[in-house]
This record gives sequence, structure tokens and C-alpha cells, in this order.
Amino acid sequence: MVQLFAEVVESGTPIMAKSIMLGVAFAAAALGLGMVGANYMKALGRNPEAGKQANQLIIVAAMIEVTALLAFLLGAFLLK
Amino acid sequence: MLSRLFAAEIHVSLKAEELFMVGPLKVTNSMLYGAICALLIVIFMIVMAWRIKLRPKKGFSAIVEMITEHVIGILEGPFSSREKAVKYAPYFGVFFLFIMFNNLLGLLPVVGPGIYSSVEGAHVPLLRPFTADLNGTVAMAVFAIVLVQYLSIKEQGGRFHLQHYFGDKPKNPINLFIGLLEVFGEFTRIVSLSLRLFLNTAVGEILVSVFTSMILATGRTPIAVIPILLFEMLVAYIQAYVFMVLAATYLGLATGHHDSTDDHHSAAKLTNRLAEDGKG
Repeated sequence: MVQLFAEVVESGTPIMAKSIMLGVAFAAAALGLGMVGANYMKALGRNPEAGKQANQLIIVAAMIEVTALLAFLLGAFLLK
Repeated sequence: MLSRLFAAEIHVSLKAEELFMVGPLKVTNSMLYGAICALLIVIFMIVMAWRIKLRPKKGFSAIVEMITEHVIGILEGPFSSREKAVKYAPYFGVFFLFIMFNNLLGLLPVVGPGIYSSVEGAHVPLLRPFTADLNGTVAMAVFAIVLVQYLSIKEQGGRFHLQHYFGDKPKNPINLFIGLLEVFGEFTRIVSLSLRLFLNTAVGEILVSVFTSMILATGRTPIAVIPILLFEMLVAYIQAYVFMVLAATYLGLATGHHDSTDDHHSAAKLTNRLAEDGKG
């Protein structure tokens, strides 16, 4: 993996580098969202009263999502 | 017809384009759209306010009542009391309604690359969602944070408001340092609030236009965009919800401290009284 990154940086193909950056960012955000959802479901299974605090879940999900969107902004528009 | 409504070529721009000048002010397409949206909401709400009745009939007034009840229900969480939620619902409901209307009307084909206006030979979309312009979201975030400061000072006084940052003993170096970090945190809140809203809406617009142009390029009707539009409607609601709840949470955190110190005092009084009773 590290070798691949090094090769991409050395070969100087920005499209490839951006693609890897976006891929990693989106995969990580998807994993994060999945963990939030999974743990919410677990908590709901153990303690059905936790459903009242569901607004916290949406806020955390929005915070995770914005990191992936920042990567999209960098990759698609800002980095040349 | 469809290819005229949904532009076949991709128009992707992160910044709002200038339409015309009013004196020294450059009016961009997002400003025009924001003004139209605000005007629509104001007219709609004034008409609804005229039609307030004890028992609302079916129709728009029932929808407005539902929205109001929903906003108050959401605000009960951060403020943890219905009384406070009702008190602050007009302030925070404005954010919810404005962002929601902006995002939902932004999904209409006429907004974005639907209707073009030619400015100095270049084709520029006439309307652009206000929330898909960083200037607009930063203005909203600054307004929200300033409103939170104002309401917090009004609710508990300047001394307790500063205590929220610097604690009881501000001369203690640790408290001072933590207070400075908290003050810095207010600025990061502005950045996070504005960037979140801007990126979600702008990326949604780009997603819809890229998918539409991809399908139109093959000469087919863009029915496959409908799921994405539905997803964007969900995003529109979630972003309005998150903006309002976060702004209300900041106020709840700033004023809740005061309440909890009251509780603490009352608890201390209660224990003192119990101890005295025990002695007696």
C-alpha cells in the first residue's frame, strides 16, 4: 500500500493520487458511518429507551460525513 | 423539453456567479435566490399567521402547525425543557425553515443550471441555492453564533455567560487557558457549521447535475436521477435539522451551566437542611 502511494507520488500523476485520496476518504467515512449505525442498533437492542436520544446519532453522522466531503472538495476542486 | 430543463452539459462551479451590480454591491445568483426564498417564506408565514385558528382546518395551516410542533419537539432535546423550547423556537425555527426551503426549492430544475442568464457573453445560471454558496452559509453561521451569545447573555447575564468560559475563578491559569480555548472553539463552530452545510448542498447539486448529464449524454430520459433527488431531499432535511440542533445545543450548553449551578446550590441547601435536621 505504502509502496503504491510512493510510486504514485513519484510518477506525478495527480489523477491517480486524487483517486486514491478520495477512495480512502470515502471508505473511511463509510466505515465510520457504519460503526455509528451498528453501535446505535446494539445500544437500541440492549436499551430500547436509547431511541429517545437518536438526534445525537444524526449529529455524529453529519460530523463524519463532512470529513469525506472535505476530501471531495480538496480532490475535486482545490488540489491541482 | 427535458434537455432544456436539465442542462445536458455539466455546469460545476463552487462559487456563486455575479449577475449584476447594485451600486458597489455585486449581486450573485445565490443572493438573488436567497432573497426570493426569504420573501416567499415571509409571505407564506404572514398568510398563515392570518389564518391561525383554535382548531385548524386541513390544508397548509395544518402543515405549518405540524412543522412548528416538530421544531419545538426537536428543541426539547438540547434545552431539556418544553418551556425553554417554546421560548426559543422562533429563533431556531427560522434556521430550520430557511435551510429546509432553500435546499428543497434548490432541487427544482429551474434552480441551478436550468435557466441561464447571459452576463457579458457568458452563460450564468440565474438562480443558485443560497446554501450552496460559502458566503451564504458563513453569514448564517456567524448570525447563529452571535445570536447564541446574545441570547445567553440575555438569559443569564454577562457574568454567568463569562463563567461558562472561564469558570468561577478566572485568575486561575488553568481556567484562563481553558477559557481561551473555549473562546477559540466558538470560531471553529462557525467554520464547522458553515462548511458542513455548504459542502452537503454543493456536492448534492454537483451529484444531481453530473448524473443527469451522464444519462442525457446517452440520449435517455433521466429517470435514474429520481432516487438521487429523493436522497437529496433527505439530506436537505438532515442538514436543516443538524444546523438547528447544533445552534440550540450551543445555547443549551451556555445556559445549562447556570441552571445546573442553581441545582447544585439547591442540592447543597437540601443537604445542609438535612444535616441540620439530623443535628436537631
